[in-house]
Amino acid sequence: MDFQILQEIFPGISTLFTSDLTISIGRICLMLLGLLLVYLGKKGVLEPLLMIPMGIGMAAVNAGVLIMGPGKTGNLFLDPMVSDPKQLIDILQIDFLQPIYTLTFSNGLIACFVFMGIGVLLDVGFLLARPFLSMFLAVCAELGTFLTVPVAMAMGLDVKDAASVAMIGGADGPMVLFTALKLSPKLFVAITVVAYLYLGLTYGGYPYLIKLLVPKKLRAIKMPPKKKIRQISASEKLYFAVIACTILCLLFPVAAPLFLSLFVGVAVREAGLKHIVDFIAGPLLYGSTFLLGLLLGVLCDASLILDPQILTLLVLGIVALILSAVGGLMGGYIMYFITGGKFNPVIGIAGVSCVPTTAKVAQKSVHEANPQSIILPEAIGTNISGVITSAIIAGLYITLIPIFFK
Amino acid sequence: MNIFTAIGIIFLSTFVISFLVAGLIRLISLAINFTRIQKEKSQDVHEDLAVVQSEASGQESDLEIVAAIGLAIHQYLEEMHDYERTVMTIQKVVKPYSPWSSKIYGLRQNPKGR
Repeated sequence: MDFQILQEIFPGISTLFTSDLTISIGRICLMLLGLLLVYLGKKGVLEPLLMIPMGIGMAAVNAGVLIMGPGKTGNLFLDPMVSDPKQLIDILQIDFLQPIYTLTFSNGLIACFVFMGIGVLLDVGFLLARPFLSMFLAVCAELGTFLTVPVAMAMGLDVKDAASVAMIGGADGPMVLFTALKLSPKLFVAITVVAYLYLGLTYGGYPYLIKLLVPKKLRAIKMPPKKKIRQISASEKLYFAVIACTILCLLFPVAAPLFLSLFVGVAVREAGLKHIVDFIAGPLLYGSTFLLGLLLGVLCDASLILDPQILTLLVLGIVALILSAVGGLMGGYIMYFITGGKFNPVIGIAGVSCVPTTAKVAQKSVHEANPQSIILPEAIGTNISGVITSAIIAGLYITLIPIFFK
Repeated sequence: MNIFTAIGIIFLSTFVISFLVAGLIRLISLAINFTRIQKEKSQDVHEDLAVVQSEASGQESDLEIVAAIGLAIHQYLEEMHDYERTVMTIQKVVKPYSPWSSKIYGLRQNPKGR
């Protein structure tokens, strides 16, 4: 049989030999990485909800490469770079994930759905109980968001791209997506993929960082019980959600969709709308997370992400997240010294606003050191504050950077 | 503008705004708390009144019981008879006939039944 016919019958395999060597090696590495992510997700090292669809998507997109014309390859999943409306309409009818990408991913709708789900799961009573402490720790845990900007500029990125990639330090996927969309549309896909990839990794990586930076004795500290524990009623939380949402939207219109999504989740929960809560916390949240994971995997196409700048973004993303975690733990240490050793410094890492992963990671690390120690209420409050500070920084970056660097 | 100056300004702005937001959250919390305390106070007053009323009503109920017992004793003592007559006498009442009062003469014609 003619080799040409074989190439046409098995384009996935033949393109491995006919395309650029870097791309071919990249495809094989990404396929293996996809399988590794599925394995680590199944083992519970990484967040399985995100990593399993992402891993399988990554493997599939790099395997299922077609020859689209002379010297041109592509796939039938999606094309994130298309912007011409006519071309987009054609692709919407061909690529099966394109409608989901165009109508939910690139406009942030899927991130808003995830935020609604998070809102339904959140108890804002923890934030109402200790707002100043939570906000202080959350600001400390934004260290990476600030320090990565000059580092990124030193590595050759312009200031807008640097600010976009530095937002990964906030560990808030929707915020990164939104900032990148506004400040650096050309790196939007790459930054978002890197951000979500690392957000999945925080689940596996942060416990080691905590162990490295906080000795077991300090991790085991039990938080003193509050002198007067007042139960905050559902009505109070509902009023808070409505007032806070309105005021925050008024202050930061740039992050208004995210605030609305978060607080509408809180509001329906506290209003006791059981059927809507069940819908948001179940099908909407899990459906969005699944599609988000799948889309992120499919976006990891070798020809798309093996841009020379991707390596820079990968390095900067990890630098930003590590700096933020270190900043959060430093904030925890400051509180430890202020309170005379009565504060568990691990709570600080929950300021990295990957809700609710970092709070869960903090509680898990503390539980390993001392099963009697419960820090989750403080950690959740800090976590929610992290979302607010990330939104503040996103708003400031989007507003001020174009003014400062015209 | 120097990048460090810009980042410094943004950091300070974040710090200030975050604490303003924290203050706002505290304010909302205090306002909600204040309303709650007021409501609890008014509930306490109502509860006090309710306690007094229930105590008074408790006394009233005691008096009612005493009155009921007294009435029962009274009725028992007053209505108790040594002997009661068992002979019944029926007097016959006779109405004498008079044509002046007879209605049959008052009618010119007997009514016809259908």
